Amino acid sequence: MRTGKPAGVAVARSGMGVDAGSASAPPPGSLTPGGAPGRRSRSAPGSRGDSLVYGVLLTPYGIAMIVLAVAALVFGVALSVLNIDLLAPAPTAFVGIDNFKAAFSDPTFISSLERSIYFFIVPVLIQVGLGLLLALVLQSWRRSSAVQALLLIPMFVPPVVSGLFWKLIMTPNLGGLDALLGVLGLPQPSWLDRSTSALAAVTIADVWEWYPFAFVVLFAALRGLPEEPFEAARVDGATEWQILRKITLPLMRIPLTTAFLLELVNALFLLPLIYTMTGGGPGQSTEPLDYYGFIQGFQYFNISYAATLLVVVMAIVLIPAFVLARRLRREVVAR
Amino acid sequence: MEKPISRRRFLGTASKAIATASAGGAVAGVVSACGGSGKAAKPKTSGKPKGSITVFADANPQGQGLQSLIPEFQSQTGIKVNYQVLSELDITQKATVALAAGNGTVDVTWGGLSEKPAWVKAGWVEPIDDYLTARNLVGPDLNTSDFIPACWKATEDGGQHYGMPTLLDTNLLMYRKDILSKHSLSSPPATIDDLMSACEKVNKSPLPAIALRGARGVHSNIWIFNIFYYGLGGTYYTGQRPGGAVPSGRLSADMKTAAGLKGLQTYTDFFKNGYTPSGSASWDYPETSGAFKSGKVAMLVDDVAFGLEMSDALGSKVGFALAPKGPSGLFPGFDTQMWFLAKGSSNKEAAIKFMAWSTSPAVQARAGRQGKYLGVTRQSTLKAHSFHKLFAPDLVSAYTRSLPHLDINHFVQTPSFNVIGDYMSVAVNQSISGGNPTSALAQAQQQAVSYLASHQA
Repeated sequence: MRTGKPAGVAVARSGMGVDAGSASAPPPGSLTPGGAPGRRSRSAPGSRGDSLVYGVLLTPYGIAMIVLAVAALVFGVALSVLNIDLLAPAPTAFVGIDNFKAAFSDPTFISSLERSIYFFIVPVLIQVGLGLLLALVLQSWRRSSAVQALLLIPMFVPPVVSGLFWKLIMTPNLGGLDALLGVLGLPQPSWLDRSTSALAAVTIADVWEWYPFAFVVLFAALRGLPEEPFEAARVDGATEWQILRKITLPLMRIPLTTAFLLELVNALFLLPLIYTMTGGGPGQSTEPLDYYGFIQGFQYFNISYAATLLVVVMAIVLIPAFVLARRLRREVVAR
Repeated sequence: MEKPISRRRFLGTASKAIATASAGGAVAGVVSACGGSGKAAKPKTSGKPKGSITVFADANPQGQGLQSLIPEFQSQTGIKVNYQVLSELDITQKATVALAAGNGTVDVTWGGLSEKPAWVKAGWVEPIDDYLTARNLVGPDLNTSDFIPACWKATEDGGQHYGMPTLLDTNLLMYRKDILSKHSLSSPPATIDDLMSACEKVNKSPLPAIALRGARGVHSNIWIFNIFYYGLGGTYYTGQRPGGAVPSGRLSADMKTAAGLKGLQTYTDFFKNGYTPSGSASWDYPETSGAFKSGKVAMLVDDVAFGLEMSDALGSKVGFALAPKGPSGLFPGFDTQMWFLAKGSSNKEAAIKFMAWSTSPAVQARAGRQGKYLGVTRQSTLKAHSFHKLFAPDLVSAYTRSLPHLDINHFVQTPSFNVIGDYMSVAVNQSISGGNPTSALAQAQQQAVSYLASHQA
């Protein structure tokens, strides 16, 4: 079922693409940082001196990250506790958690929250499941490189383009999807005109856009699994299904967690897809919380309320992402 | 409990650092400007404005038609114009943020009747009356009485004028003469009931009967829906007559009425009965006008701006008539698009010079020819044979017969309408997509009540 080479074990075990072998000492005769052949550097790789150099080199990047990520986050939270509404100008005032209280008594917030949770769960599960399935199928196929490249294409299509592309496909009498379904004798829903089918349409487009991410992670990990447990299982007469359940999936725990984590982050990039495909409609049936925040901010110009909604979105993503990241770290350390 | 803090202190601690990030910077500007209002001081004119100005123009036929004439203005005046053509949705968002920031990002911006109340109330745009007497800026023969009266009046708020009208928008019924006559309809439908009957007759023989906007948005479905809603007696606010002004004082929502429901149900019926093309509940004007232009529907109720395009594409097969009227009257829709002068502009004289030049009769006629639109705002331009001969006679006739019915409250002239109208647009979109009109309207009403309660506190 699998053709992985033991040489790649370190890649898979770290789950993060870091080869432990790369940290070994340079071979005799190679040029060391000191410049003299065969002489050991005063600061050998991994030594305190190296750490200092790495630290100094990474500092500007670290500062930029803090300014761009953390400061923007703090600014968002700061806006959420003020009362800035451009259509009802009033002196800027601190209102504490009033915006959050207002959100939880706003029916549109509740329905958008439900949709956000749906988009953080359903497409993510399908993307990881589909990515794993394709990785399992293709890793046993020796001449699969062209197919692999094709499968990666959606990931490189900008979400706005992909939204327009799917909108065209799903437009009756234009995109051809209804004609294809008709030929196959299947029902031809007016995809974007009904609440349930519009939600399904956005889910399909979202899965199409981001499943390659899970596929890449899982495919690389599968290729790096050690041979020995699989050979031993086959010698013992295990079926392919038993091998998958008892060996492959347990060995893939770290890459699967990584894939879930990355897909969860990708679920945040849904806004352009919804904007171009459905505009949140029909009604508000495909409007997740970030889209509702966008409407509040850029259509109703209720800046503080929009920031409040986006703080809630961040909390929804950060909590599971934090749990997954902790779990990932524990597993890596344990290995 | 609200605990006031000074805006300066807030910005001093948080915004300054964060404004270095581009997105944060924009919002910080907004924060710093919010709440600013008040009258402009009487301007002093220097005589010869120079420098550069930034103009946000809509990607409509007027905005595009004018674009090719900009170099002429630059060479005549020496004023450099950074002319940015943006889609309607983008320009509304971008202009609002830029005006709120008040930092001179924009000098002149496109805006319509749905933007005016909020922008004026917030004090982001400046009255232009005092500049109009400066002949060195507006030219020796500026004649505001030459503007179509409804357009010039539409720029007014509290006795002051806030804009120069650039484009008049209203709606017409466009129909395929060949298809209607095939079904023995000798004249186009004049009322909403006639239109429904005509749809029943011509539907799918051979084309879907009609294209109507379904997509959510005040500028999308509400622009067309209000023809039916007001025509059947619907209102948005208590004390408002259909399509009329709101009473002064505290406002309350008044959408969940028998007349309002009738309006929503009737609009829904066009979709529910299958008179509109399949999948059109999410269509906006590019799709509706595109469907009619490419010969895929028999009738279209939409903007006069598309008139010439339709004539070019369909030739003598296309006819034009007034939008359908209801028992409460004819409400064809009215939006005057105009140039607003940004309060934060650092080159107001150049901005005024540009506004006056681009709305002058000669430039309007040339931009109208370039952009192929009939909705010029100058009476002299519209009456000029050299201009209106470009358009089909029944298009000009239907358009001019619409003019007496224009009311600036098609988009109700109160700042809350942008939000209340959007609630209604969600209800329309939900209802035409198979939802229940009664519950959709009830939801819009409930949202409107809650919004007005919190925004009039």
